[in-house]
Amino acid sequence: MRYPTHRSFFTPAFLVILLILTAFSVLLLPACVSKPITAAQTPEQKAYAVYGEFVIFEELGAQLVASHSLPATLRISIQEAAQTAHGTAGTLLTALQQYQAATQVLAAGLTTADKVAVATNNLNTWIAQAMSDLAALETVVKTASNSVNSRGTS
Amino acid sequence: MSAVISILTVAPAFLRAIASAPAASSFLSPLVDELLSLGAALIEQGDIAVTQLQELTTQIENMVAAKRDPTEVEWAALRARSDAAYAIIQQQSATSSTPSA
Repeated sequence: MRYPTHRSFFTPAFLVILLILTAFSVLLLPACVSKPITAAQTPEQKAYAVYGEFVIFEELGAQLVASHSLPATLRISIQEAAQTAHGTAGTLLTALQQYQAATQVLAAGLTTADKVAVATNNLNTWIAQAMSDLAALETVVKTASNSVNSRGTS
Repeated sequence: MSAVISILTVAPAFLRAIASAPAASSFLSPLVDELLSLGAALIEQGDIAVTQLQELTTQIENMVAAKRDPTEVEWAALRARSDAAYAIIQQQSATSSTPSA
């Protein structure tokens, strides 16, 4: 009986181990990649970082809900999380506009620094809220993504 | 980290090449073939988010280096992407809630 010389290398056990390592990489790597907000320094840069990350996962969520293989429960979860995050993102943009207006008025010498501080605190509050809602959206999107991929190969 | 990302970028094609290689078909069972394809699919889906997050981080790092805040053009681009994605999500919600005839 003849066997291919490389048969012993590609055993099912080896490939299962490879798959497990791959799954860990997929699960852990996004956590290892530096978050955009960690690179940001000014309040506007932080707002942009959070909003940008939200848009990335909102787009992934849109791709998933359009997938025919996504279970209805996961589709509803994405829609609800996206709706909540989208609303918060909208309020974040409003807070950003108020902050920008306050800093412009301060630069023109027509207001005081404490007025800008109020706008800054408000913006930071909505940045924190957006990060919380974004985390929820990321969770459901990643869960749905794994579900679609596993169904796609069955 | 960039080396890991580079490896994961080419990994899906590598895994699929193993599964589809003529020599592999002689000894790889269908189950193993599915495992390889699943691995490739998992990497690709996670890779999309990782790549875009990395690009966004780089964009912000460039802003910091240039000592500037995001421009209105950059904000408008993000808002447009969000509006388009949200429209799809809302449309799918309306479609799925419509009772079938």
